[in-house]
Amino acid sequence: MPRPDALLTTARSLIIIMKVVLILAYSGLCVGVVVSIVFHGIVMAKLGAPGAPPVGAWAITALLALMAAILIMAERFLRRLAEIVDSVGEGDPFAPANAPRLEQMGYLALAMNFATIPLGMLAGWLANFGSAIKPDAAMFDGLLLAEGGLGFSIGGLILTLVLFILARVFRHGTAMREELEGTV
Amino acid sequence: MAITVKLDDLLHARRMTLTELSERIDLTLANVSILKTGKARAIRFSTLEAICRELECQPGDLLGYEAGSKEPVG
Repeated sequence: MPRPDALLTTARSLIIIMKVVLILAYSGLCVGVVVSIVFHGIVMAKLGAPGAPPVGAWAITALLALMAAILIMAERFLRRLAEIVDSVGEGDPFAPANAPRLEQMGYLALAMNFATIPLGMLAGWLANFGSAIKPDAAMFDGLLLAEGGLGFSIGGLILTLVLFILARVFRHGTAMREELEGTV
Repeated sequence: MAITVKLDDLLHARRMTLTELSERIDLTLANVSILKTGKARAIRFSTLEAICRELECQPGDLLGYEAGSKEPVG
């Protein structure tokens, strides 16, 4: 029976909590997308008041759909992370599957980073018409702040690079382990 | 593999068992067995030295080369 590891237990717990939050947020966004399509007329009427063009209501739908897509990628990211954490827990971090997992996490981080650009632009554009719909305006402003204005974050880019480099390190480590396995 | 391991012959000549050798050279029985059956991909100098010490032989007595019997590794 392996000893409980504080780091791995914390990582596993955090991943579970984040997954639950993601699933809840994703469900909310899906409902939002459906509502924004079904009640398109009402949303347009609300947006129409502060002088937004008719396409504004569809922009809200697009914004919600984009956020949902980012959350799906985030869930995939966490799933790969959980698999890596499990492999470390099993005492086999240089398993051949971990390098592709890290590479996939790198691509997901990159995709999420790029997806925040149109998200930030949409939120910024919608925030212009937010004065008449106060709660939404606060949400869009918050989104803009969270995404660092334009949406692209340097931290996310560095994370992507770190993941790709780690994938290469793990691939090399796996090859070295395979070589050692036949050594007596 | 073109490299052959003649551990079986050496053990037979010295009247030593594989288990006894593994204990003397401080290597697991599984690893010594891998070496004996020719499934090892590499051998450490420290292992070679220990085997030569215990079996009173030279590395050449333990390893041989047979041209034309090369199989793809991996």
